[in-house]
Amino acid sequence: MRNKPIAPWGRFPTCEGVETFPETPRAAAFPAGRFLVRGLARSYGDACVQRRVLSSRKWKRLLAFDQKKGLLTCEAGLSLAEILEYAVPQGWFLPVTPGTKWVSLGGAIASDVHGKNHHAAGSFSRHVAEIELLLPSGEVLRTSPKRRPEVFAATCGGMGLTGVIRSATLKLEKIETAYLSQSVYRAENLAELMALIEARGGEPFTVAWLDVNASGKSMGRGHLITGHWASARELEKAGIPREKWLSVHRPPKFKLPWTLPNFVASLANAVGWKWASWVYHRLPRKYASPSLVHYDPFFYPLDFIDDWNRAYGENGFLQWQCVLPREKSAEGVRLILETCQKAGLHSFVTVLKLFGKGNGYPLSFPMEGYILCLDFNRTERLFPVLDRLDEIVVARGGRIYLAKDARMSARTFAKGYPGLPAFRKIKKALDPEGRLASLQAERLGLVTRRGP
Amino acid sequence: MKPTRPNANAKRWIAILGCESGIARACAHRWAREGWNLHLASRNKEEASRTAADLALRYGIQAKAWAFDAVDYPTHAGFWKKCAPAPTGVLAAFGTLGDHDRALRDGGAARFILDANFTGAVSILTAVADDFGARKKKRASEPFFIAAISSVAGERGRRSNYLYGSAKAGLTAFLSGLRSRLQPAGIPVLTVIPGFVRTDMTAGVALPPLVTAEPDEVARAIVRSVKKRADVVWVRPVWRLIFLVLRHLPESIFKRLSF
Repeated sequence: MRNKPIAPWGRFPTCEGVETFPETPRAAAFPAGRFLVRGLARSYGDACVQRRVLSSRKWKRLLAFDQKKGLLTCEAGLSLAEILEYAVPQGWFLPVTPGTKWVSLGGAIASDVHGKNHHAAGSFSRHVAEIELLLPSGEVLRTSPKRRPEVFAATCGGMGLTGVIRSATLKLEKIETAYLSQSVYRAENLAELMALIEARGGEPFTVAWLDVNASGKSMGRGHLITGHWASARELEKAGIPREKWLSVHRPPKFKLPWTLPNFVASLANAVGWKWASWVYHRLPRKYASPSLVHYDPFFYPLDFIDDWNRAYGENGFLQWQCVLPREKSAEGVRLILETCQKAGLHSFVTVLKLFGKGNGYPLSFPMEGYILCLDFNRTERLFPVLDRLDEIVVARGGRIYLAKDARMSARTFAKGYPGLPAFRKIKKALDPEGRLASLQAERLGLVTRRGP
Repeated sequence: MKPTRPNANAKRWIAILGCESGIARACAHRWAREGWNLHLASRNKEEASRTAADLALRYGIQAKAWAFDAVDYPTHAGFWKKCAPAPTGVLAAFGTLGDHDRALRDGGAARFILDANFTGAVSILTAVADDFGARKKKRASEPFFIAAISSVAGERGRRSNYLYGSAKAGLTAFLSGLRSRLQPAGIPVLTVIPGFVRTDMTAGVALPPLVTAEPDEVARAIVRSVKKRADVVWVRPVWRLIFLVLRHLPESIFKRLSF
């Protein structure tokens, strides 16, 4: 089998390797030696890169659905989009969803993803009732919050390193309609924005978009978007026809056929985005008056373009997402924004959100406090700046999100994740040879560099 | 996703033998979408029951899982009798590429290739044909059919895989004879010639993309050909052209080709 480039969503880093697509999750399909399982490869960095990759893309069977309790058991390769296609017409939705529906169920568990409702509903794994793990030895192990809880905790957020997730049972949320009632608020600086976020914490879904280019008095200005599921009555009032009430998303409208050349991407970085964010901030909107929005644009604003990562050029891009403890958030976020501005870095999409309590799982990202998410074109000068941002975060007791990371140091990682020793112990017990590993796991010292 | 009502196939069953192959699964989805109920038979019954659960949930049909081993002939008649409600269509999708080089040294491995691709099919499809023939007399309006997946490899023996090729050649000849036998009864027999397909069977083989089909493309051809009561279907017609040439090459030249 010929080698092909194995790339993550951010298109950096890549390596030459082989990805196989077995029909079923079974040990006989495991490559010899070291390998990694991945689904839709939406991790931004090397968390989904390895020389030998076993794809879960064909593991798409639904195994059971309890209509009364909303308990759905299915194979790990099913995407959240496919789960919605099945569940929404029957009046069920994902209890927690990240900003794209093109991630696999296994990936969502392995990264313990979060959504706009973290403050209310916790992270994805809170709604996982059971996981079926296929260990490198071929043994099948069922785990749940009650059954082998230490394995469950290590697997949720465990980046696929504790075993191959074959299938899982997910507790869905009952919905009356597929629409949300959305409100938008504008804040003129960071203090105002954070006060707004705290004040609107009662809404189930909240997220803020931040203008990173504003400085001085306006630093940290942005929009807060909140929402809750709309009732049938609200839709009736708004005159939305009944057959649309539980309508499913549509396939992406656009597809970027090629990767944009680097100079276009860097040009956009140099001038375009600075003004774009200024214009965006001044767009006339109906502030604070709720509007009805379908779940697709509400939760997945970027999904209408397929392969949007190509817009960042051949060099790819990096996302950097941190969480800061709540009491240190205001000062930390300000310092991070200042550092970016001094370095002349413009983030295209910048998100600020307040998390609720974390679950204490060893490698699960969420903890109580603010998250800040930035993304940048990959340039050489970016890396030292991100190292400085890492310092700001770990010095304040925060951490960096593994699913988005492509470059943090092993030291930053160890400082941010105090549960690391516990994770190592489980990893050793379930995969003593260290067969399951991503390049990220090698970089961060979770396994030895040279695999079995 | 549920089939559109009224469902003419609500009481009809198709048996898919070797249901865990990529092509078989794609066929199962297409038939289930049309409202057929399915008997899913595989060596690995656990996998078959997972597939059955999936199809039942997605399409609101009935699906049953069965343990079936193509090379275990003595069990075939019993399996077919147990398979109830009685199916009116059957797709034999089992087969194996095997390890040709190993089979040249190991007689057991060679025999397995022949059995899993040819003799196994002869055994089960003969039982099926007897049963269908008898039932067709009583229920003439039922759309009985037999379909089996053969291969381009069966068109001419090649140096690199002639064990698999000869087994498939046998299967193609068997199906052609069976078709003739069932012709008076009005039961169509379909021979499927897929060409290269991207499935587990060809994982690790470098396939030329222009002549390689996806499993669902093969499934579409199968479902359509069954409906049309076709005899032979070449999923990608280009293969027909390729083998038109290859079949007519004189043996004195063909034997020197190393593929």
